[in-house]
Amino acid sequence: MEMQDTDSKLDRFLKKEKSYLEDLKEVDLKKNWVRFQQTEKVRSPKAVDYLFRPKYRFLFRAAAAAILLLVVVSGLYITTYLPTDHMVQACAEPGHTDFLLSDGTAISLNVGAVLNYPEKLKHRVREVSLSGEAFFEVKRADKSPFYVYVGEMIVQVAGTSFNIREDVSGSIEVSVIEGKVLFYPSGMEDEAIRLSAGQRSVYRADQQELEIEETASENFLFWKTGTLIYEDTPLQKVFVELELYFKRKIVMEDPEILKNRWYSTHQGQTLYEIIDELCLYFDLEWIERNDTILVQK
Amino acid sequence: MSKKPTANQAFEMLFNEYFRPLTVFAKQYVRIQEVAEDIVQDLFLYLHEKGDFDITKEGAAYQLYKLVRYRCLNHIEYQRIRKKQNPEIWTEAQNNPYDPLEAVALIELEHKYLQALESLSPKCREVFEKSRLEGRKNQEIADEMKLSKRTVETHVSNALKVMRKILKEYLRVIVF
Repeated sequence: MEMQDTDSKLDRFLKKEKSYLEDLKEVDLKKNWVRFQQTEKVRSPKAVDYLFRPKYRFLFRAAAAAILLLVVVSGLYITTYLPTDHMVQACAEPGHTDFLLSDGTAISLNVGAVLNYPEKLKHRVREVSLSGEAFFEVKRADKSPFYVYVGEMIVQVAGTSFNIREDVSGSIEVSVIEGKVLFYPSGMEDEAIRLSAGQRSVYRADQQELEIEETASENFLFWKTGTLIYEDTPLQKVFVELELYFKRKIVMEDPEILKNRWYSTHQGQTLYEIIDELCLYFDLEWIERNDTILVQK
Repeated sequence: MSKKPTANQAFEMLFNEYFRPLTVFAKQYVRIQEVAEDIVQDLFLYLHEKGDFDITKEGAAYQLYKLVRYRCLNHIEYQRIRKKQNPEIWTEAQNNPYDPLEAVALIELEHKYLQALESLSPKCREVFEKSRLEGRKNQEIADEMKLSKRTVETHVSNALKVMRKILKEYLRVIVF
């Protein structure tokens, strides 16, 4: 029965028009088998795949876990142990002290000056606080302004060199050698004055407004450089500066003498040597009495 | 006596058994023989790399057709996107009015038939094709091929025996 059925079916099938036979004949099996073997050979060495096989996957997991752990631990270490905000206090030794901050800013402290600064300056804002006199050569970095907090004032710069002197009386003088400096009372940035090279400003507690003066010379850096330069300077001013820089009282008997003008460069000289030179030039004499130097005809 | 075939031999058998019908099947979707061959080649590479395809599992053959189908549909979708982006390179409308999955049984059957033909001796095949495909009389064939009528009859009956044996399974399933 079944045989018959199959036969009649086969018969019908053989008589039937073949829809796909020609298509099937067109597929070249041998050629495709060769092609497959060649492609398969090229793709066969699965060096990379190998590692991703389940057998090795745990290695990847372990490696990933190890890296994650490392990142977390080092992150914790950095945030807790690395001295990012660690403050350092520098006090000037006799003479003056030169040192560098972490950003490359060079600072000289005059006798008695105290500077507080972070061991590692922040990137956004570099901040230090000062009392006393110091000279700054701030490393240029436009995107991170440098702030010096001194007494009630703030000195803000990008990159310049300047000198700050704070008196015992609380007066604060900023003198700029190079670049530009903003000088303003704490919290009053709007009232900042802008000092350029060769200018200075003095803040006094009793003074209402800040004024900009021209600095005739760089003698204010005498404490650092030991150099005094006078070019056509009235003696009056010379004596005021000498009093200031050598911290001695100088008295002139005859005010007329003070109108004379003085040209000279004093490098590494003592006060006595300078006074000697002056007296020789103007035909004067001087005596020392109770820490005061008295100059007379 | 019956040695178990090695993995490579087994794969070659799988390839021989399915490459052609799968390609014809793919061609129903993609219309171009070369594209169909590429798709099926790619499928076999995939199967070979995966290495755990077992054709003896139930429904495995149907799975193969489905895999080809997905690949074809992907190809068509890819072409469609390309067509969207470059309408000018796509001229022929590719709408298929019927689902080639329905044709799988027939493709397989005709493939079996082709395999049966290929398994015959060349003479036998020639006689059989003349007899059944071209519908010629045995005497005509005998005259043309310079054989006795008897020989022609033997060839045809032998061929039918082979056909019956090979196609039996498939014929039982299919309904004309």
